[in-house]
Amino acid sequence: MNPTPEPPLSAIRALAPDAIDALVTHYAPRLNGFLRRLGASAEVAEELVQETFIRLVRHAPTLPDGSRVGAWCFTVARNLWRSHRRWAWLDGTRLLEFAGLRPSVGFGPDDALTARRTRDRLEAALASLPESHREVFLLVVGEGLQPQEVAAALGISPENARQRLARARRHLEEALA
Amino acid sequence: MTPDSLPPLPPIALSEGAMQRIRTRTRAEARRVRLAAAEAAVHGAFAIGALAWAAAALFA
Repeated sequence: MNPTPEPPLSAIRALAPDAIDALVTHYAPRLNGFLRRLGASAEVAEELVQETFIRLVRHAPTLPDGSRVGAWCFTVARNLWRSHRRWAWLDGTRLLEFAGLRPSVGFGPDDALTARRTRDRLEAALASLPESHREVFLLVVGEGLQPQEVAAALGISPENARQRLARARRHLEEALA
Repeated sequence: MTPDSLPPLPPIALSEGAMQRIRTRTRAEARRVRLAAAEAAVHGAFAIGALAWAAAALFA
């Protein structure tokens, strides 16, 4: 999906410029996709992706052995999104903007009609999922995180994560039937 | 189509301008963190040196 490999943890801890660039190249589009599918506008998603990397850089020197940087990034991005949304709801002037936002379907050069229709249906089905189920589904199916990692990212039990995933699958089965 | 046979969800590319902005700010923050760490190390070394000098002067 993204050919840029993740740099080794030692280089990330040392904040080596090449490693930082590689991290951005590797994760920025994936984090952007995750946030857009949760409902963030292009502008908000860019801002939150940026903030995720800023926090990663500040935290990097203390990352423990065995850290999974991807899971860490998705956890931070998801928390930033939730925080942003809370504040956006409090700020009445942003309500109209928020209400008008839907994830777009610009997926690049794949213009095969069938693939596009399938993706459109998938995007529509995803958008109809409750957010608590959608974020689990996106992290497990879309980003390949383990249920334990998703549970840690969302602050829920692994059993709860599995239940949400199962419900998301059932919901999508019905929506895509 | 079932959820298990879904096509992979592709990343949603950021514009080149957005990627450039993110790279630039992230590099700048990394540089700031590296400099702060180096500065802290120098201050630490200076403090240890000063302590050692004071101890040596005390017992000389």
